[in-house]
Amino acid sequence: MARRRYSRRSRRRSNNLHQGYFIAGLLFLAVALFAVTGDGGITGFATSDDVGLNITVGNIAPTVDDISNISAQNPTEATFTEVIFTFNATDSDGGSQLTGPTGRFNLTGEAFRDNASCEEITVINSTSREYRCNIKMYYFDAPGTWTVNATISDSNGDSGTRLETFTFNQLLAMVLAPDNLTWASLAFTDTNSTANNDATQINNTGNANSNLSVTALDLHGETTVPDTLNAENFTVSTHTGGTCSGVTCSECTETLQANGSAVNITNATLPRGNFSVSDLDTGKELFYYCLLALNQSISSQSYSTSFLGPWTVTQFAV
Amino acid sequence: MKMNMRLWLGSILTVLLLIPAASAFGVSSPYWTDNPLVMEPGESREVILSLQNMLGGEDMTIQAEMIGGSEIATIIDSDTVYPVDFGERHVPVTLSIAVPGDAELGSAYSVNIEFKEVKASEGSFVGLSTAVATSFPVQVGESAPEVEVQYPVEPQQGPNYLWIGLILIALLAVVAYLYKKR
Repeated sequence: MARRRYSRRSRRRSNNLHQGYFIAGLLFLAVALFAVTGDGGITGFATSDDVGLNITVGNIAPTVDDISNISAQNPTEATFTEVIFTFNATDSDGGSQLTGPTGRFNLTGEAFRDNASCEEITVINSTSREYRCNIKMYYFDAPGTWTVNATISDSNGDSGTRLETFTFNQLLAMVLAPDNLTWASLAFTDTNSTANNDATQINNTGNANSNLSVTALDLHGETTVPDTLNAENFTVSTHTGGTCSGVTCSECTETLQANGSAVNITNATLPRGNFSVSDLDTGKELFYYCLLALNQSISSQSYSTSFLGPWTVTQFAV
Repeated sequence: MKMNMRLWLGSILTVLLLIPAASAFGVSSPYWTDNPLVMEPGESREVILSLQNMLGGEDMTIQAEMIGGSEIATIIDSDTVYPVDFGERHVPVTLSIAVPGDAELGSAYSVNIEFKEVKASEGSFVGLSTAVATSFPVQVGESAPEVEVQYPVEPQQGPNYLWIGLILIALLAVVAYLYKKR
């Protein structure tokens, strides 16, 4: 009997012990969870500290909002054409920060044209300004579609750019001098006589690469008009034998003229370019002339273009 | 006295050398070989070329003549002889271009116009004059907007060599007079 009571008490005591262990385990688990995840849980870190804040407000780059339309422009003979346009710019940090407005024209293969200091013409509002640029386009600048570049900067060194285009038209133009040719007095037997006041210098005063032709006319006598020096007796050349006579003059072996017909002069080119450059090629061409022989049946007198009119030097684009 | 005569002759010769021996002119066009005019079949349009005379100091007379493309192009000005005064940057020459309605897409025409200086040849020499032959292609295709060209409001005067020469003569005359007085 005592053993059975003792066993029941032991089992009861054992059960209570197991329950205790279980409850303790649950409590421990709850405390552990709370310590790790709960508000103000045990982290091992400091509970408070000072935090420093450094906030930088960045500069807003200015913008070019609009460029005025630029109509197609005609070049001007032997000088420049002023091309004027305007553009609007904005700086959200304040219009007073806008600085350094510039304009530039670009075309691949060409020197750029620019205005490094466009002028402010209008205060639009507290953040926007209007500027005007004058840019010179020279007579020898290539025809075509040029890119317009308008740029604005601010006092912090940031900048904004906008692009537009305009057309620079073609100009076919030239000037030649002297506009007359003279020969020394000739004998009927003279051959290969060169003009004594050549070369004729022809300057390209436009922007078109060109070739040249000459339309010669017969020379008529100034006293006895029916007597003629035929145009076919003359040659025109782009080079000369220099101080020469007769067959040594290379200009006497070149293109023969024909009465009233345009004859393309061999190797005669009139490229566009700044003809003011001191050379023999840039934007210019030279013509030399030779009278091969005289018609033996004509009379002794002066012959000129007074009757039929001047010879014509024609420029045409290539 | 001899020195003064030489000075006078020298000054006159200098002035003559400064004055260009030939005048010339130019023709500006909104279309050229690499920038053709594109028009649709049946479309008509006006194209304006510009004559200018900025060098030489003398007024000129220029005659225009169609030398190619007359099947689609004509000069519609009442007179094809144009006075172009010295300093003029824009004397218009108006062309009418009309592409036939049955023109094939992708086909092309060539408009060619010669502008020639009207000039009398005087004196006992061979006179030279200038001419410019301008041309541009007309392509048949989807039409592009007309080119708006900005023309100058007032003609710009180029340097007047005659006046420059006269001023130089006057200056040299003063110098010669002062030299003589010395």
